[in-house]
Amino acid sequence: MTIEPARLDGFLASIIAADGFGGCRAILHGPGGCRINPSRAASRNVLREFSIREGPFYFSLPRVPCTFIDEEDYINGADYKVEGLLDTVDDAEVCVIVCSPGASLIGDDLHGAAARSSFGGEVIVLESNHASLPAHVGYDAAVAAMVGGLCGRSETRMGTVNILGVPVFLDGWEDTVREFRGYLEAMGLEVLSAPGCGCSVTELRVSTAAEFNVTVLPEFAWSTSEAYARLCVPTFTPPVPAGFGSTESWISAVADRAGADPSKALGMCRSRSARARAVLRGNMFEGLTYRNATYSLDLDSTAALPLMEWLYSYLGMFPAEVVRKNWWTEDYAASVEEFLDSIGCAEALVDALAPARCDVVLGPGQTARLLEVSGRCMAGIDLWPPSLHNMWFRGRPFLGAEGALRILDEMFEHVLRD
Amino acid sequence: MYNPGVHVFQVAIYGKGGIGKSTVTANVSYILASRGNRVIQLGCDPKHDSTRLLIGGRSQVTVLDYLRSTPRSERSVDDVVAVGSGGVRCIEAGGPEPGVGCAGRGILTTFDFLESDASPAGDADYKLYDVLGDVVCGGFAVPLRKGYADAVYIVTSGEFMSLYAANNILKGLLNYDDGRPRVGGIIMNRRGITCEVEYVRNFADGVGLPIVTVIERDPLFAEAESSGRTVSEAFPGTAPAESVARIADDIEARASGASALSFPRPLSDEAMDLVAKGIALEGGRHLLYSRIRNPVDDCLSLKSCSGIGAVLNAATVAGLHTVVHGPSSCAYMFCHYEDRNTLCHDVLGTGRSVWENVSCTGLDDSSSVFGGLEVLREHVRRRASMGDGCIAVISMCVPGIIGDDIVTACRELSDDLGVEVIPIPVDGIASGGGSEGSEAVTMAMVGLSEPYAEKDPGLINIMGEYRVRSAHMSHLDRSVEDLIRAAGFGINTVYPGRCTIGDIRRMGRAAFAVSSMDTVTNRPVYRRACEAMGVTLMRNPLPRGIDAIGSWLAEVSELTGRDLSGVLESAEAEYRAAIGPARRALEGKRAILVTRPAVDYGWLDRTLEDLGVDIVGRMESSRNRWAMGCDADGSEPYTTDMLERRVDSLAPDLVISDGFADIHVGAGLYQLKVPRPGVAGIADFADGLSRATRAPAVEGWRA
Repeated sequence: MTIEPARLDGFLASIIAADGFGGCRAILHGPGGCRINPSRAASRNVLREFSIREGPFYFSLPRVPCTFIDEEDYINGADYKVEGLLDTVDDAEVCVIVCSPGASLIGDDLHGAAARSSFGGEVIVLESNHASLPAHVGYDAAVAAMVGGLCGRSETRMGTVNILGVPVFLDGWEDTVREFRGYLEAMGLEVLSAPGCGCSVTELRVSTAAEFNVTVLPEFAWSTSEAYARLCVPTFTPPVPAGFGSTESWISAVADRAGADPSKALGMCRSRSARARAVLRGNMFEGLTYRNATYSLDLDSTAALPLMEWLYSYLGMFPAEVVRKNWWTEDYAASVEEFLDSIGCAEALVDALAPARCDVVLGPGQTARLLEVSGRCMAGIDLWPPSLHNMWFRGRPFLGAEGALRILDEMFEHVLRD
Repeated sequence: MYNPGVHVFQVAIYGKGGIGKSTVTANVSYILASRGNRVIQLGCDPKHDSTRLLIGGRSQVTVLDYLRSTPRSERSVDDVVAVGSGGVRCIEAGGPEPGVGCAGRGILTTFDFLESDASPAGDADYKLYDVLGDVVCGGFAVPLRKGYADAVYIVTSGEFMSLYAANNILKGLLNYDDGRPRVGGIIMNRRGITCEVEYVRNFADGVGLPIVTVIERDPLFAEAESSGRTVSEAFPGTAPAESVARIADDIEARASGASALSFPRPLSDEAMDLVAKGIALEGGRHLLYSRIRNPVDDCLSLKSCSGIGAVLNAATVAGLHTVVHGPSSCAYMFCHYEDRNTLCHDVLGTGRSVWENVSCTGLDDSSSVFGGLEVLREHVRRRASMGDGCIAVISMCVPGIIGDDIVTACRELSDDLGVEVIPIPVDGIASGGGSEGSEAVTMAMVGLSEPYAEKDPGLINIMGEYRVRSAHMSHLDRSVEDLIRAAGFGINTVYPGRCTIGDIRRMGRAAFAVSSMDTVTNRPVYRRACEAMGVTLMRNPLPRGIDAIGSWLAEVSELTGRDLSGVLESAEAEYRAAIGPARRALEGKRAILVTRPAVDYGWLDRTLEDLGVDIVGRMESSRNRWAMGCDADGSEPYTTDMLERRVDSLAPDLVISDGFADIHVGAGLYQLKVPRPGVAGIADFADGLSRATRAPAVEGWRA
């Protein structure tokens, strides 16, 4: 049976993106039913002390206050509720208003509501709700709107960069930012900000002084890059770093762009891969477990191709199924097809997973977990988007060398346990 | 101050459908352009004929058609611009076919697109918006918003409906009041009715607006239009051309600041009645109507959505595939709402989780504009081709707002495909909250039940076994089933959490039904469902607490004539033995109860009494309009602060709370869940309560 998981979409992702900025409050203009999950997801991803917030628009939950529109508001409009909600915000310097798919049909005058409210900070209105579009579209649009709405041109400080394209919806996003920040600093570059990757509004405002931006997952920064380009900050897109090899390529490419020495950063990356190499070479029989094994990959990200390349070249694994994404560019799709063809797996490209039995499933948290608990694979690796089911106490990145170690940890943990 | 060449002066022309807005707008655009201005005209009407007279009577590609057919990465505003007479740049928004989708959303989408690739303001001196009819919704009000129309003109005749529309436009303007005057005036386009000028003047005086021009009926308009041109282009210098030229004069005067704009002052319905009767308006009688404003408060605000109740109800029925007709985010939220349960619950005998039993049509912005039924049809056909023989279609807010007729669509699909396609049009929040969604599914499922002339008095249905939603999980276990069997019943259908479509069709075979757990919202639903099937619904739900077991067995005896005194005696003995250890720990303890409305807590008082717990305070954690009439006796309105104050003043040993927000309470917090029916559920509760008295007041991570 084909698995058609409910997809995280651009609407929810835009809420998470806005909420992820320190000093910013994401406001949902929509029904209360649309609020619980974003509020929960926000709490899972960007950790802040929970404090009960009583009263209208909050009803105990502090994150993602909501206008709680009802069926009458769909008919009569509800901009006055937005105004009322903004009046209550006393702990943020910026509010971002996101409309639910239903509320976006009302056509409320949200700018007018913001102007009439007593909120003293800045208000950004996301005009489109990005419902049913890929998550990265909404996420990117929210970050781009923040850049466009809050940043002005600055004098360029050479040797400084911003990190783009690590959504806070990734499990272990802090570890990913920390890892890549470490590489950049090891090259002598100063990281001013990581917009959309857990930075604050204050950090965002100074980001336009950067010499350039550097991406991790570029699709999460396509519009953001354009917003920065209008402020004269170019964006550099190195290879997507998934697996050890492509992480080294990422470091080398950034060093080339910056005219920096990559050797120290490469050393940091290689010390991580050396650990994996030592474990596997020290346990040769177990280390060969995944040679010729199969996997199914459903990854809504450009990290799919480097991950496939790494699983093949590093572990000797073959794709049984790779889910094609309708937002892939022609070039990207061609590269995927070329790679699959080169290892004799051209038929692996599918529109949806239907795993009868493969060794590993890598994909959305729920898909991976479902297929694992139902015995349809040996190991289910939660990549993106993560399941909201779990709270994790240790980061679980999948990008960079740390991500490669975590994937190895989980794959071998399952096998040895079984 | 308007500064030609530096910023664009934007004009919106509104009026009732068919009143001549497009003719007026095209003429004004042409005249402004012929005076050396750079002009853009944007038609905001699905019938997309605003610019026809500027481009030789042809039609042009609309923005919405273009967006539908062009990949995001290849879009450019230049592709939707046609250059017309006098160099006027013409754009048509377009829209859905009549009767489907949401034309207002189409206007919003058009503006979003045009903004996304905005030309610099210096590219035009004037931008004119020709907007469909009345301000029927927020979409058509977009040109009124700040940043768009600097001046608004209203075209009207002396007919009442035209004046009524003009008044509505002023109301719309009032709703988008940004503190600056924006109304240019009234353009009178005569229809030739008796005393027409007097009617319009009476209205204009009432709303305090000038009549910018009076356009007389003239065959030259028709003659010009037949050649695909404006009268201003085809017959310059004639009376009709001069009458529309006065509008252009007025716009230029407003733009330059030589003439002031007005604030909107719409008339009340009462005043409009006087206008209709031709009675002169007196000063002070034109009262503004008050806009409807619903407060956001704990009592009135809906915190859930019927969509989730419906989906989580339907998705547990084996053999029924659930289609969420709405945006992906709805299905994603539903499937992640109760992750553990949706993922791990094996839909009876199918080997599939609830989560796999749900798919989504994934409506996007385009569906909102053009309607979502085609997407739905395609989705259902695909599911049918994958082997789903019975499909429930549950509608969310968006299809409800845009008016997707899923009932007819499902009927046609059933006929076409030979599978059962069941519409459940809850329309997201339009039907209420989760309970209302469950109700809608229940009534739809009952509709599948086959008629049985002879009922089996030895069979009973269990209603409301919601196995996915945590508040209701695990009602049934072996001990409850043993109690039901001891009462002389065989279990027919356990609805909805442990049944197949076949079990639902056989529901009418049982003589009796019992609710798994009563709330004020589900009880009437089960009553109606059972009445529809001719099944007797027991007054008592499955029993929680020893009193309830007694009442339930007594009712069974009453209904069936069976002697169940022995069953009660053994239940009482089992109960005493089960709570004995906990009583030793709890006797003399003092407790505050925080309960929720719409939930039966009758079991709790008796159990606490039997455990020797003294209830020193009661509160109710939340109320809403869907659960009115169930306030607990003596309860107080609830806030967390209030609870903390009561804890300080009463110093209880235990806080037994069904409120999720009581996390800051220290000593003896016990988070209450409704126990399973029967003795075992109460024993679990008593043990948990006993542990709560021994737990640290504040755990290490909270300290």
